[in-house]
Amino acid sequence: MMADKHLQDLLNAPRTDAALAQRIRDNWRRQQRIAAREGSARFWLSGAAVAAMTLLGVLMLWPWMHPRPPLLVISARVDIDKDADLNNGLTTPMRDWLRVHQIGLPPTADRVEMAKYCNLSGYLNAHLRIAGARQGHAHVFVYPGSLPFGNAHAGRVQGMRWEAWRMGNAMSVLVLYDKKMRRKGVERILQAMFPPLANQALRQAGRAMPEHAAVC
Amino acid sequence: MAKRFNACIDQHHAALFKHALWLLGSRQDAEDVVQETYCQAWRSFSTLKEDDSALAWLLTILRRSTAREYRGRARNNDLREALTAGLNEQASGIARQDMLDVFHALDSLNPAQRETLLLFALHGFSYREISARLEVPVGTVMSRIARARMALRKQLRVDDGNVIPLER
Repeated sequence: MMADKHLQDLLNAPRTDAALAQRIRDNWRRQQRIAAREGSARFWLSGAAVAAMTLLGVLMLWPWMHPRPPLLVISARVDIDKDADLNNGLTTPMRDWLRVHQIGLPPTADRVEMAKYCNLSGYLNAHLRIAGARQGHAHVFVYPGSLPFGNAHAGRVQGMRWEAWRMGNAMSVLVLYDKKMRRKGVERILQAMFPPLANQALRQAGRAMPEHAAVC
Repeated sequence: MAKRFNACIDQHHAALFKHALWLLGSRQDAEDVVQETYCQAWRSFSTLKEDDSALAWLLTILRRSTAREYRGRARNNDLREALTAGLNEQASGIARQDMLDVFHALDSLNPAQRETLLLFALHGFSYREISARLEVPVGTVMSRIARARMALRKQLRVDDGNVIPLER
């Protein structure tokens, strides 16, 4: 006769000695460690692969990845092209306007080829095209107030570099210059026209915010 | 989580190993399949909500591992040694021959009946628990156990109907 209790005893009879159990657990833990190492290696390898792919993507998309310049800058760039053939020099009304706003004249070596007023996205600016002493051109847009550049303060737009400064709410300056124009030449022009801006901002590679001026 | 898992396998190692041993009839295979079960269990341990159901959960994993790895393989390589290693007949009151008879009786069952019987008789699960674990209706569990019971009785030449209880 075999009662259920006896059957259960028989089924429970095989020994599971501690050494065997321990060996299984040791093997299992070793597998865990190996899996963790492989997982870690796989993680880093996959991380490296993702980083490489991202870098490749960035390099491929680099020409299109520059942050879009503010609309004002695009408008200025369009205005530059529009008036490329205008050579009216520094007119008397513009001289007066600059004097009224306590803006100096560019160095004599840097000739003002064109001066006019232009409307950039609803803001009436003074626009001066200045030929560099050696080569290249700089376009200085001045607005007697605060222009909405957002957080952007420098960049490239259609083959020209642009930089913007804002001196409190009193004045905003936007400069676009072509590849032939050296930045030092731009600094020299701005030093002459906007001494406070030049002395403090341009001295710091042109990007830093002057103490009294917010960089756009 | 590792501490909880270790406690879990420490608690259920013997039951798992015996289950695998009766299913496979080989210590080496049982060892392998239990180890594989631990690996599988560790990967999905976060899905185990209640420790009370850990054994049933581990047995489910073991069942899948067994089915995958040992389907169709001969069960008893070194049967006597596998089942009775270290057995002290006098102290335990268990006869080696009885164990071999039980094994051969189990061997005469189909795998589903064998597993159902082990869950019932070795681990003491109820019909409903077995039904939930094996994902079969309770009636199927009952019929498997009944057939297993008849087969065991025949194999073991037992004329008593009390091989295993009819209900739990």
